[in-house]
Amino acid sequence: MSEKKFFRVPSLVTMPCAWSVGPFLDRFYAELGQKKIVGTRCPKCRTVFVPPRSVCGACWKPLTKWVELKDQGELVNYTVAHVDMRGAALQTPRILGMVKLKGGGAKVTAIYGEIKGVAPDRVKVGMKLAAVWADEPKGELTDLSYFQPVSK
Amino acid sequence: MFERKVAIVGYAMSDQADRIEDTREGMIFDTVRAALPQAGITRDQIGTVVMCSNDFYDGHTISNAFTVEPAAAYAKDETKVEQDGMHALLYAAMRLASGNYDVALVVAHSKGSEFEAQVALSAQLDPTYDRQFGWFNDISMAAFQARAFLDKKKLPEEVLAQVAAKNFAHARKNPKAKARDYSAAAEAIARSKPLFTPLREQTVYPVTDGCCVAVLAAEPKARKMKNKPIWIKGIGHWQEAYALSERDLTKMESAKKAAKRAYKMAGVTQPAAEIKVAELSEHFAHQELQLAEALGLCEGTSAAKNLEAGRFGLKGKLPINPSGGALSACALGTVGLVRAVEAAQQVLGEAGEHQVKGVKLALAHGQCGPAAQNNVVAVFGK
Amino acid sequence: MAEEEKKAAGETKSVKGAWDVKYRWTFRKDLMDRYVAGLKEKKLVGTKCHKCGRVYVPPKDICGKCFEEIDENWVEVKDRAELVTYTVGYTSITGQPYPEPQITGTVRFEGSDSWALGPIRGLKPEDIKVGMKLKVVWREETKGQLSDIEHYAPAE
Repeated sequence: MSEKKFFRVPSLVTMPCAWSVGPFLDRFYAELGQKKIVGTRCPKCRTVFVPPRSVCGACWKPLTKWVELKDQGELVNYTVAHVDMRGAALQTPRILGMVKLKGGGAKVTAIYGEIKGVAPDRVKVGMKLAAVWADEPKGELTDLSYFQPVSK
Repeated sequence: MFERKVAIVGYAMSDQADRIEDTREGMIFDTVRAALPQAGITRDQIGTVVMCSNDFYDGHTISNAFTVEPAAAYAKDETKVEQDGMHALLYAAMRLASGNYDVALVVAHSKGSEFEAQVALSAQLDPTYDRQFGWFNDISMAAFQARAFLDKKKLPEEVLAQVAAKNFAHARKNPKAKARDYSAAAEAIARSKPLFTPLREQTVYPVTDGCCVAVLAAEPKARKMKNKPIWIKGIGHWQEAYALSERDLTKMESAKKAAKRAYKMAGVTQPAAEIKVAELSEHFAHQELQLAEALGLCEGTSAAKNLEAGRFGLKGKLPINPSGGALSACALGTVGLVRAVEAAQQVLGEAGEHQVKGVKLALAHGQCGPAAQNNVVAVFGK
Repeated sequence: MAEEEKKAAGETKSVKGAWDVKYRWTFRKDLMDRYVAGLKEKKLVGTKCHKCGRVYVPPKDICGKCFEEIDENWVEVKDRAELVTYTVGYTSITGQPYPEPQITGTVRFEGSDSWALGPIRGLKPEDIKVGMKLKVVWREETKGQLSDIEHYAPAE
């Protein structure tokens, strides 16, 4: 057999998208613009879904009850990012957390947020956190800028 | 169980390498060309071909249109699964069990050297919320799972490096594993570049090029073939919620349920004693420990303790990933099928230097979705 | 649409994103090199399956029908073709209107069994006929690139 030779063709597949968030997230984002965080509660298992869902997957029930959560809560999980999503090194590591907000009862799903005001090696699951809002919220995800430890 | 029993009756695997110097079609063609004589069949005996590939990995939509010819599927019933090799194996087995076909070819492939894996994988996330943050990919999602597990079991991060060190030591005996440097010991692995804590470069899968092929047959045909049939004794498939916040990340609930179903079908009541070797798709080091617990492979309740005691090593009572596992080589989408072929080789006695002695029942597992959202578990035996 | 109208119509907030993955596909350099070397000479070369005799232009390394590798079995075909099928385009693939309708066709070179895609020029859309004989119109100064075939035109 003759010798095979190969070459690589670089290509960038780029597709810009604009997704409709649907009526539930539409309200979630609108309320962020009012510095409020809302979720929906399952009538059966009482779980409050944040961001709000339209159906409770476990109970198979439509969700119609809206709940306003407090903008304070507890850190339930975290990871310290040393690289970005594509794998490039970050200048400063950032703490990505999952925060369970108060005001929804025992079962509230955690939302994502960056954690600031604490060194990466001092982060602890269970830390009490408070949201820091953008000065001029616009109904965007970034209205909730980050969480920081509740000052004692 | 299926009304018609299904077996693996042949296989072939390319190198699982960081870069295979070939076209995708060439890689598939060579592997399928090797599988057919290994199984003792010709192309005309294949009834159905089940591909396992992913448009996002390949860079074209309906990418299996391009791989029909090298996969010996020209003018044949050909279909595709976009999850993992074990899902493709399950689907092929179901097609045979239906009675519509007697012989199936399962072909899983991807070339990690040709695409940006983490960017492609970030597309599996919800675009209206999760993806809007711009932080999340396959690794950061699994990092949350790792943190929850380590905290719950009160384990130090170093245990992740121990899993990787064991699997790298196994990979050194696997001539197909060529995806990374396997020489590091646990101490060096524990100091490798942090990505999303507690996960580091060497406790996360290497993105790999590879193709894996399995030939399946249903009885009675399976009994009349060149190789001894390695029966699918039991198989289970389960999926949990998408959102990490709606899952208990400390358990592998869907893997546990998939295993329960597989064990019930196989008549396995004490997996820790009856399973002699397990090939698990541990894309991240912590997942091997979680899976070992969820699948009932431990003595006691702590996989970490079993690991430390040497139970899961090649010379241990229940070797896990004698091939080196996904931490050693991970051509996305092929991983579960590689595990199934490795498990079959163990039962056949064809696993070479990483052979475990006296294997009657072997277990294979495959996963897909963020933090192993979706799992398939199968028990293989003579 | 005003915000109230959008809401009444059931429209919800839209969030942006992009699918931007870099790929680096591997191709056969030796096959491509030989093909474009032929184009430079205003020649069409392809590969022929040693089993079934099918000829592929541009060249392929695997005959799918036979499941065989085609190794170094090169043949030359004429730069004349038959029109297999066509479509008349009025806009580009991104929706920009063309000043004039553009005909794209699949053609089968005389002596080849596979098809190539390309622009058909020198005739009006209403005069096209499937099966019509075409010729390759070469770029005057060929460079050893795929664009050396400029377009296809009705054969005299």
